[in-house]
Amino acid sequence: MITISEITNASTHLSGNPIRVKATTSGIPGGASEYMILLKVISADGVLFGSPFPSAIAPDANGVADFEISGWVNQEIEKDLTWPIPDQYSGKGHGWESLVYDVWLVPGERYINSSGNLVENYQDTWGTLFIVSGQLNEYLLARLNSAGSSWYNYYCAGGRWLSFMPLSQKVAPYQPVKLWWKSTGDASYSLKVKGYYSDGTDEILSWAHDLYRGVLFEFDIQPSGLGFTINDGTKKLVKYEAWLEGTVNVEHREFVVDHAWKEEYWYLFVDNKMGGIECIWLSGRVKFAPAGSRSVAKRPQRSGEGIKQRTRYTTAKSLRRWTINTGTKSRTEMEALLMLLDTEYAWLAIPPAGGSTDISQYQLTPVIIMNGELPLFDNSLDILDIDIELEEAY
Amino acid sequence: MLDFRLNGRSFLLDESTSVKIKWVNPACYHDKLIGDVGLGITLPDNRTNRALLGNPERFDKYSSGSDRKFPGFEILHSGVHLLRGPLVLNNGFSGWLQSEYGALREEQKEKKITEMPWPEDAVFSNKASYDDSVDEYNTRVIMNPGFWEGKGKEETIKEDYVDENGEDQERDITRSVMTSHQLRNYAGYINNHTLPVIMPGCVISPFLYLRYVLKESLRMNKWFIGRNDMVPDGDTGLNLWKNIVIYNNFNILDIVTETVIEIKPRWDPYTGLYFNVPVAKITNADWTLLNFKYKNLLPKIKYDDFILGVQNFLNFIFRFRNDSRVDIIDRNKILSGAAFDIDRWHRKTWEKENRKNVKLKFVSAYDKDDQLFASNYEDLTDRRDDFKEPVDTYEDLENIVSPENGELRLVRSQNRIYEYKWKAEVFGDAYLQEFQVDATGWEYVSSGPQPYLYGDGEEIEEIKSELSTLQIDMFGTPRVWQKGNLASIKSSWNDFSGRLIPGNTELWKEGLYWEGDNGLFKTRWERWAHFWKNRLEVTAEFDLPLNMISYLVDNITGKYRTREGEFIIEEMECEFGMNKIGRTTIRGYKI
Repeated sequence: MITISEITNASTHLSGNPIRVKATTSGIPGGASEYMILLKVISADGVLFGSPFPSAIAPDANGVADFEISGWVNQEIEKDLTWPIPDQYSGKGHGWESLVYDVWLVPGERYINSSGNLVENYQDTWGTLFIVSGQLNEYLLARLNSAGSSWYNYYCAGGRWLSFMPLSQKVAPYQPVKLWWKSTGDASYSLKVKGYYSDGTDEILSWAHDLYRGVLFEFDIQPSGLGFTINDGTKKLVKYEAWLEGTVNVEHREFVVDHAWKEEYWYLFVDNKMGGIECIWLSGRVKFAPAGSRSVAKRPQRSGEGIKQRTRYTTAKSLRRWTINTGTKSRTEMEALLMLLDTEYAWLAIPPAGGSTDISQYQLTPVIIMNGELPLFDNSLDILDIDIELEEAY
Repeated sequence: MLDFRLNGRSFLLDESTSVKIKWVNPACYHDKLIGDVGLGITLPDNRTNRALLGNPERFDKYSSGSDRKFPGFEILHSGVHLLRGPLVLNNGFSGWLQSEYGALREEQKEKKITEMPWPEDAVFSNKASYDDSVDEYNTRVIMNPGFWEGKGKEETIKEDYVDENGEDQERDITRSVMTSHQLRNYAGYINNHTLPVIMPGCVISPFLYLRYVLKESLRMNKWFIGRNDMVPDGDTGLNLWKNIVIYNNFNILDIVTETVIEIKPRWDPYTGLYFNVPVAKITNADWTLLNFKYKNLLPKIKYDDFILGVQNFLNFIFRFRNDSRVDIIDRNKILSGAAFDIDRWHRKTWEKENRKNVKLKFVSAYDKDDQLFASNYEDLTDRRDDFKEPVDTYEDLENIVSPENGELRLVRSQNRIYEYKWKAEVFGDAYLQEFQVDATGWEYVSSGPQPYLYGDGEEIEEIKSELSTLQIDMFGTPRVWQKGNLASIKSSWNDFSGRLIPGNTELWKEGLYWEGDNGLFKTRWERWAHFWKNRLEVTAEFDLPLNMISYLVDNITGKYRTREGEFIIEEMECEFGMNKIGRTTIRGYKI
């Protein structure tokens, strides 16, 4: 009989960090040799290609085998986000079932019995694990481990949004802010957003949502899309807070609105690799400098060819490139941009020429962040902004 | 993260540590058995690693010319087992990983199948019919009038025979008295017994089922059969798993004699005188069923050759997996199976080689000690173009209108090949004077079966098997002419080669010949051979995640697809770094 420990049934894990499953045998049958503890990982929803994945480890002297299953479950899942940004008449919360997948664990044992025959037995399914595609850096993981915590316990059970950005951020008035969270269970929640105005008034808007533990939730917190007044000439939205109320109360996040005029507002959506997609306002200089590659082939000039016929031909391809400055950001906002060096998915929201506050007029383009280094902090230089180099991902 | 473990304990690796692993598909190899391998393993020299390896740097551990092996080595990445087997260090801390199957082959490569721990003291189980799904052997009847030759007293008698021209003749032959007994009491057959009554000349040879030998020999090496395509799905199809036995020439009966010393005169040619010689004359001989050893029922061939022989004879491959299981896979099912789509991970276009155009030559190693082959057999591969359609009987041969000079024809009922040619016919008159006449006619050239050729390419690729079969007569009885063995006459042991015969009448009588509509080529090889003779080698790169690499490794004999089409894998190779999985290069053949 095999017992599983050091992992909880129905717990949630990031796919790219070690997921340890400790399996202990109640004893090796008499006369058995080549005894192995088995663990089969089965993709319950069929997302993982090649499932099921059997694994076998010989137990140590204490009858324990340590399995690490992240290799089986860390399959690339195409990240996605809601676009276009919904208006105030559409839902604010979107559940992404495709970004969470479930696996079953089935323990078993295998050995050669005293008659020299192979015996292999699997027990009933031990339980289900929920997997979110992502990975924390080793130093973040080490800090959580030292605190006796985990990504799931700190962010999901601990009531924190899946975001590296500081709790208070400076945002553009029409910035399509997104907040992500994964519920610890199936329950009803209220998304609450409180807007503060320049005339001293405030208003709270609330939306009810049923959240499920097998689903990653995305909330669009663009204030104009929520129904707040940004600037009607008499009052301006100064800041707004967003939080969730329910079985687990998710932290308040503050967004301070910067009304200083900009010709264009550029936004970069970045997968932070721990379940969330951040919206970063790039308020600095934008340089659009596409690159091109071409090859030239030549043929002999044919008899009678005139001024319009060519003898050199080219095949060419262009690649869009941008260098965009982040604009002035606080130190904590700058340090959060470390995620740009880890991310594998990013999208650039490109405004129309001349700018627009209407997000529906923006183009969304998948991009790759090309920076090999980001000088996020230098205490002798007062770094307030950095250039981000982007290349389209087509 | 990359992890090297020895018996469950991890080595301390550095950032630059990497390993290239190559997995191979045994279906694409006909000339050898091949295992997976992990290359370019260099372990950092540190205290942890030295301790795990037992301090290999010490002088007293050095030995000239021999690698150091460490069984129980594993390569994992993020918890996924990639390869297991002995680590072979051949230069300090550098070496390679041999798969467990490769290690087995290394241990067994010089070992003969008879040297495995088969049952030593088996009691014969005499049954009217044997269960070919359960029993370890049966006693199907075969013809072997040569069994007793060279054993005991001899006599000279007249014998009728069919000459090379297919005509009845008579001749004087000298043969052992026991042969005469066998012919008289048992019509020359083996296992034609009426136990418990044993008459002189009786031969009882249990023939081990191929399925038993395969299963047991693997089990003795701690491999267990998983998927088994030799067992057909449902009740349809040819069941080669239970319908084949392994021929031997061992008699489990042996003689217990009573003797009396008699003085017999012997002529000495040097002195010209007779001298007396004491002889222990047998006055009474009892033939008794003895307990027997299974190893005496098996051919003395290397285990490697046996497994490869089965592969290349019956066209089933043995895929040794990481979990002590062996899959017996039908190559034809590889081509007909569903293709798994891996297009989403395909990078860069396919590179193609030139398409092959080869002639496949299927060759079985026939037993030279079987007089039905021996000098009667000639390899006529080079004269394949001279072969015309086979005929059923010798009469059909003679009825062919206007045969061409040099044409060759197989007479199925005799399993003999005749050539139409210019020859000398020999006649005799009443005064026993011989005279010859120039004539044209059919002349015997060789016994069958012949190697089978398929394809029209210039280049010949041999698919060779150390296993073959016996001649089968028109009634479906296997026939052999080979001296036999008894437990009490070990000094003149007559080896026999590995030969498979139908265990019962469920298998077509020519089912183990290469040619014929029911022969091995048609029933077992045609589909694969058609693909293989014109295969197109392709290579491509893929960015596979770990779970997909694992799936492909476990199913390397499967069929796969990208948008360009379907293919099978010959080998796949991937380099793993500490936190990196490199591109997987797949070399295979387009279907």
